[in-house]
Amino acid sequence: MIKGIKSKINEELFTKLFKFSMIILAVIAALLIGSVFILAMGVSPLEAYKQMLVQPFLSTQSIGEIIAKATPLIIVGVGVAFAANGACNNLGGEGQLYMGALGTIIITTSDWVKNLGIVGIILGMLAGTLFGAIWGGIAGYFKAYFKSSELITTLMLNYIAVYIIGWLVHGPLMDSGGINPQSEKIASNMHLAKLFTGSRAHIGIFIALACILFYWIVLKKTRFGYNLRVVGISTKAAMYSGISTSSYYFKGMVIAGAFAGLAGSIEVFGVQFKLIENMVSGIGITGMVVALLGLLHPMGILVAAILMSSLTTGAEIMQVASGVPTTLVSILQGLIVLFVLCSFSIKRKKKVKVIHEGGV
Amino acid sequence: MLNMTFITALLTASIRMTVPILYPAIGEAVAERSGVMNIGLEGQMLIGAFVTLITYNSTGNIAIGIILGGLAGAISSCIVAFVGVSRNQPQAVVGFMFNLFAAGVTSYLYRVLYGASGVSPTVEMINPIKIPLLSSIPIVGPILFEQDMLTYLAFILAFAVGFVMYKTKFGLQIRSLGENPRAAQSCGINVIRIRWGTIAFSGFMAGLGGAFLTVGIVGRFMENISAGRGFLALAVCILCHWNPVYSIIGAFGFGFVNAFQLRLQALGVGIPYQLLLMLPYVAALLGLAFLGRNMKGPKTVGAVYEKEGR
Amino acid sequence: MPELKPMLELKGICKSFGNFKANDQIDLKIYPGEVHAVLGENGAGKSTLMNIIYGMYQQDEGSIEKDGKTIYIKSPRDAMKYGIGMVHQHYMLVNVYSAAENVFLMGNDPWWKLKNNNEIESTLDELGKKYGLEVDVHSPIGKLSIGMQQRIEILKLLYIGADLLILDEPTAVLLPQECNMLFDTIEVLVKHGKSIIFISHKLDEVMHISQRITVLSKGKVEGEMMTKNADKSKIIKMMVGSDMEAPILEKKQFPDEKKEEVVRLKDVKAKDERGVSTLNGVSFSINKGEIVGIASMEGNGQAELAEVITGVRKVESGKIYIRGTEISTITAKDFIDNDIAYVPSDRNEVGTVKDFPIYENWILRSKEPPKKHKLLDYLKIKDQAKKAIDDYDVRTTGINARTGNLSGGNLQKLILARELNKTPQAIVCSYPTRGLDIKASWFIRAKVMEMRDMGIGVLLISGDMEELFALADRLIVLYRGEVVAEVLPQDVTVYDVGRMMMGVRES
Repeated sequence: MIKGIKSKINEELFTKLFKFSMIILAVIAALLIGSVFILAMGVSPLEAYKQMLVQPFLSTQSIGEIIAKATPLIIVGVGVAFAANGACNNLGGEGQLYMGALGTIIITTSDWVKNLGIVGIILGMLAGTLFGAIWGGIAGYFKAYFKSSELITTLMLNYIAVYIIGWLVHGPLMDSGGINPQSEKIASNMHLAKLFTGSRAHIGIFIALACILFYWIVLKKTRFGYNLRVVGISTKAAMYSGISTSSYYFKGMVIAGAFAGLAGSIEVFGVQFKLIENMVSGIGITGMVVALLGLLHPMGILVAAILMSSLTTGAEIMQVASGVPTTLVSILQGLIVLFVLCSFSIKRKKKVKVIHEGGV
Repeated sequence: MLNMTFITALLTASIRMTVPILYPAIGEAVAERSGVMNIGLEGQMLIGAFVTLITYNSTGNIAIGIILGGLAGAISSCIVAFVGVSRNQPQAVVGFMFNLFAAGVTSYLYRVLYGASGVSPTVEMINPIKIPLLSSIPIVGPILFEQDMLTYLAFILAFAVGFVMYKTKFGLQIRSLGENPRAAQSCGINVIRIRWGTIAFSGFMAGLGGAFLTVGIVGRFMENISAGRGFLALAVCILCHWNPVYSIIGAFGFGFVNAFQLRLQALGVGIPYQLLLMLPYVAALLGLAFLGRNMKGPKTVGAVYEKEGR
Repeated sequence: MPELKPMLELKGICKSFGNFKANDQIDLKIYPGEVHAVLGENGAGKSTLMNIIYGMYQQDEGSIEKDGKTIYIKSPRDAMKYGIGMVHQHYMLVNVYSAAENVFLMGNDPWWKLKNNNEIESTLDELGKKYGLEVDVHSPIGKLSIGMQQRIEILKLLYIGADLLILDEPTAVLLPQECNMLFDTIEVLVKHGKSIIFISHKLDEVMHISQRITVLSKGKVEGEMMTKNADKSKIIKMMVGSDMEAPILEKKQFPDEKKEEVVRLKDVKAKDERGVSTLNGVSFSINKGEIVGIASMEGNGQAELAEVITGVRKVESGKIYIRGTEISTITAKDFIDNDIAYVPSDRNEVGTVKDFPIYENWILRSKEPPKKHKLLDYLKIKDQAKKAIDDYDVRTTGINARTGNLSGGNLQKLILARELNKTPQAIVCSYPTRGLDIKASWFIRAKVMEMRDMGIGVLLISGDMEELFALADRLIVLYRGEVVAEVLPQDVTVYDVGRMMMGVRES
């Protein structure tokens, strides 16, 4: 029996190490394939990767940029992870982010909130979270009561949100003073303080970290998180346990939307200070990648978010330095996730097959 | 405004706008009937559109461009088949990440080949083919029978695929995979192989749809040329009950809204164009709400299938 | 008489799933025109072996010979080519297709052949007449009875020309009368020269129908003999591994005064997943300290009954009372709050979350899990779980083990421990010993008696007549969703109950 325990402990450790090393391998494989693309530009992959992977950590400005970019990724990732634990694939991060930003701008540029300073920030964040929650909730409602797949509804809602924002910044919300299609800027006393000078990093990162903590506590230590996880693994067991699956699908999507909305809000207060088209382009999808690569684990999400934001920051540096387009990042992200998914099934074959009842 | 010329032009354009949604919808109907979900249609369309462009640029021949575009869609969809079927990973995630990858690749290679601010090459547009006699029918004639080869092909395929799916043994086998793959396996059907095939087929169709975008509608390649049509095709697939023939109706619905919205813009009707662009997606959403309830689709779409499992 | 050569021979077959060795050096000889029974307990390796013969699995070691020549069966297509067909325990039929379409699916027509239902239907009708199999070839399978589905499965195999038919636990879901029909069919098949492999864990059946028996236990062949020379007690020893006698469960008489009513159903109606009405007005009650046994064939409403009494399914009409108070049946919460425990028939998909560790499964369906400052108190939870696996002797590597890795018997013990820990007023046990080996079954049955003696009202749903008769204080027979009889086990025989399960009312 002692031997059994020993091998069991080793097995769990082994599995974790295995998963981790598979992710590293996936990243390396993706980078190798990426180098082919870099060569197509006539650039040396070593040069390009040095600029993309090493440079970002060499200056405070770029480190600050990494933090600034990671902030919304962490929050969106947490939202996606919440929903994923409850068997909901939230592909609608993009739309929910925009809606969050929209809600924030509406509240903070309104006359009675304009001059409220910190209170204004808090109200703005609440508004953003609410708007995002509603946007996610629509998809959640559709899944719970119309049994429509959230895959499609969230995708549709993304496009709808983008077009609504487009219309608003070209029209009703357009900054009356300016020529550019963007909203009025928020008051300068409502900007989130910067972490240090010379970069865009701001104190929103602490909110992001708080979100991770919140995620961990709720998921692992509350009845709600437990019920959500049961729904995510087995609808039958959920019904057995008196847990309403439709209610939790709805709640999962509302939470996912809320976090994405919060992220949008933080982008407004920390980086953009206004509403504009393409302001959160790609964060929704990258948020999904972050949740996946983080294996839905709070620490994993944090690490994955930093990894992704480093890649994106590095890609910008690389584009300026050697002209390699930043869309390389999308290629790398897609490849990394696909490779990681492949590695999951390698692990599966080693798992001990269940001893089934009724006729082996 | 509502005179004959307007309506005729509107309907003709609608038919054309139906095509890039119809192709992937047909493909997806087959794939989902066999129990797999190809969310990567959007990416396969982009790849098809892009490959058509570069093939045309190097050969000067649209036909080869279209064929290679379709093949590129099929070949790239094998990534989805491999990770989603052979490796049994969640197909929604696989497809979505494939889209990210495909968008990145096409955008990147476009920049590489044609430079960031350089010439964006155009292609020769596909020519309409007038069908003799039929195109002389008043009103209906010009609308239906003066379309191009790819458009005719789309509608023909909808019926042909529908016929195969419901009237032949092959179709019966494919559909059995969506209902009870274990039973199909016990009949000697190779579940994995057929699912690879249906995904490749849906990729091919998506590629053709993308090719049509390049040579039939836009005239060149640009980022996000597919504009969510691959996702709309998913909605059409479900709303039209996984039936390729009914998909014509669904795809036409969206095509019509698309064409209508363009015309309204041109007429300067005063509604902001973004709201008009939104219409297809709102329509899909509402459709899913009211028609999507209680849809009895293939039972096992997306479910994990292990060859030696229970 | 010259020695017949075996038409199929298995030599040294081995197959493992991960660390579990399902088949270990198995030899098997099948002779033409014979019924060869493969007998063994649940988990002995019978189905795995058959799936290897049928090409669904490939063996790790060993060979298969047909008429003396080595053959390789890599898929069911290969098996069919060699004339081998199998009727699985869970029928391999597409429910939305008709019998004709299912046969078409299996046949040898090329892929482009047009669907011609009429042609196939008439061929099937003819075949049916030849072998005495009565089937409906038009309707979708989903609408047909289990017995008819089985006949269609057999017909399917005859259509493709199978010489060797493997029947995997064919009587598991049949009524006694349908079993007799099956045995008649088997005799006709054998007369036409077919060979049958008959897999079962029921010794009496096997003695009745077979000419040769192979006994499997724990993946190995324990014995092989001609049925006419077989010694029942020797066989039981081989199957079980030791000379075990079932412990005699004494029924303690519970003093009448304490027999207050715990659960009462009044005219309860419910529908199943498909919206079909499966419970059609059921009324009865369960008292403290008694075991009410439900005898019915699968599909007659007992599954929905279990779900309705535990709150997992809502009633369409009728009322349920717990300790005299009417209960809202819209959510399971009320039932959980009123201490109705549930040991479901599906241990892995319903009773536990198989990816969760034991200690997380411990709080499933729990009214009020231990909490500290509004957060779950996992220290307490883990303690409780640990105590439970010690008390019930659950074999596992620890409370962190994934319940999906537990064997059937241990998993059931865990579930039982959990449900009993909630000090329930009433408990529903649905097929509690299904799929368990003999030792585990006896443990569970003893526990059920204990529950009764503790004063809990027990509803026992079981397909095992021996179990029902041994444990139940009262038997309720369900047929087509209605209570057709309420009897005391000492007043009736197994055959009486069998007839009632078929709807024959006692005068």
